[in-house]
Formats: sequence, C-alpha cells, structure tokens
Amino acid sequence: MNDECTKFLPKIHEWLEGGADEETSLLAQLHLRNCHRCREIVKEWQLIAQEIKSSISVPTPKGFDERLKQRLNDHQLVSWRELAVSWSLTAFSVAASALWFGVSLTDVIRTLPQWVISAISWSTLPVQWLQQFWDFMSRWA
Amino acid sequence: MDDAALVRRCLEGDKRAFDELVQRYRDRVYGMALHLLGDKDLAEDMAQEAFLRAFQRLTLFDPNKGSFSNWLMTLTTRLCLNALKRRGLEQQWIAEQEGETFELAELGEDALSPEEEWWAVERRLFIRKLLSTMHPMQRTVLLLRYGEEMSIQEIAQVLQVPIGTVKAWLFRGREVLRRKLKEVGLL
Repeated sequence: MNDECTKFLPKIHEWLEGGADEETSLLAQLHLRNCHRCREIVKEWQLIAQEIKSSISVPTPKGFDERLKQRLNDHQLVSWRELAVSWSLTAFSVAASALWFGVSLTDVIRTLPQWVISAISWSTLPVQWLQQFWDFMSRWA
Repeated sequence: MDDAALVRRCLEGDKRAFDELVQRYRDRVYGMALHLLGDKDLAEDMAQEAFLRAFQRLTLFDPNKGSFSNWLMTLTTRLCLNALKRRGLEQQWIAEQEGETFELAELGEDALSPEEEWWAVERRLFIRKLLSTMHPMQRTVLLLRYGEEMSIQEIAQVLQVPIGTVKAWLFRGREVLRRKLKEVGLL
C-alpha cells in the first residue's frame, strides 16, 4: 500500500458509508478503479461487516422467556399495588371528610356508588401523572 | 404482521403481541448486550430490562420516526452503556482483556463446507475477541453500523456524539479489525 492509498482509504470509507460529498465520491471511485490493492481492502472491509452482522445474534440462555414473563408480571403487580394505595388513600380521605363534616354513615353508604365512580376516575390520576413524569425523566436520563 | 402492527396490538392490550416482539428480537437484544458487556449474566439482565422498559414505554414509540427495531436497539445500547459506566469502564476493560471467550456452540453457522465453516468460525471468534478489547464506544459504533445496519446519523443520535466522531471511530475500528485479522492470517 503506497502513500496515495493511505491518503485515499478514509475517502473511500466515507464514500462507502454514504457521507461523502460529490468531489470525495468521485475521487474515491476513480482511485478504486485504478487500484487493485484498495479494491482488495474494500472486499476485506465488506467481509468484516458481514461477520459482525452474522455474529450479532446470540441465542438467549435457557429460561430467558420465563424469567422475562415473571419480571413483566411483577411490574404489573407493582402497578396494581400503586393503584391499591391510591384507592385506600381516597377511601381514607372520604371517610375523614365525612367525619369532619358530620355526615352520617347511612348517608355515606347511600351515596357510596356515586363516590366510587368519581373515585375511580380521580384516584388513578396521581398514579398516571407520576408514571408520565417518571417516563419523561427517564427518557432524558 | 409487521412490528408497528404488533405494537398497536400491544397497546390495545394484546399480551401475545408483545410475546411475538420478544421472540423476534430476543437474540439480537441479548447478542448486543453480550457484545457490549462481555458478561452473560449481566447481558441477560440488561436484555430483560430492555424488554421491560420497551413494554413500559410502548406509548412513546412513534413508527413515523423510525423502526421498532432501531428504537429497541437504541434502548438496549443506552442501558448497556449506562451499565458499563456504573461498573466502571476501567474495570471492564481489564476484565475483558483477561475475559472469557464465547463458546463455539453459540455461534451457529449457515451451510458451508467443513473447511469454510472452520475458517468462518475462527474469524468470527477472533473478531469478537478483538471487539471486546476495543473502547466501548468504538465497539458500539461497529455493532450498530454493521450488526444493526443503523445509519451514521442514527448512531450519532443514539450515542449523542457528532457525526464526524462516529465516522472516525468506524474507520479506525474497521481498519484495526482488518489489520489484526491479516496479521493472524484470517483474511
């Protein structure tokens, strides 16, 4: 490999990778046409790329799928736990408010279905906000 | 069914659609983690973490911005690079120099003659060993470009480095591999 080849190799590489300007592309192609040694190097580069491509996949260890499913289930359980905490807090707040304002227990029970419906929509919100905030922060991290 | 359709079905609550995505990409995700981390247990942990995060953030995937494959591999690469940072790059570097080699059985091979197969396996093993001795960022660039066929711009985005840096790492990395393979007569 002579000095000219050493000078041209980065240009040829740039042209092959698709980031070269028009002039560099033309010079690289012209040199390649006339240089057997550089054509050999390009073939070797291509072979290396193929080898990397074919070795990227590695079979996962035995039990990978089961362990992953377990982790996904655990994650979903945590979500349910968060929801349960959120609901309990809502129920506690409702009970405390009822006591504070002196509302009788029978009134509370009578209007309970309405409260449950509004609790379903409101109690999940803090969890959703927290999750969205967490996703947002994780994306930037 | 293509990946984007599977993602849509996942978001509609179809759990089997996510299983299908795992089946499609688990070997690539695990392979990438193994190449980057050089430790089987940690690679499995990171591969599972990548799928778990993908599942949690599926709503953030936008098919108009790129393929699911690129999105997942970006996630995997960033997780692995963070894991490397946590472990300490120096420690990892030393460990890799002494490190384990991959088992032949893991490689898998297309239909080749026994002699060709032997050469291909030898070459591939040697490339893996050489990759493990490179700087993690340079290794990542080579794996993303030739293993995952990402564009230079995409790699620059994943690693948050300038395009020129990616080009330089790629050229030097490929030249190092070529020269070393030549030296041992595998090219």
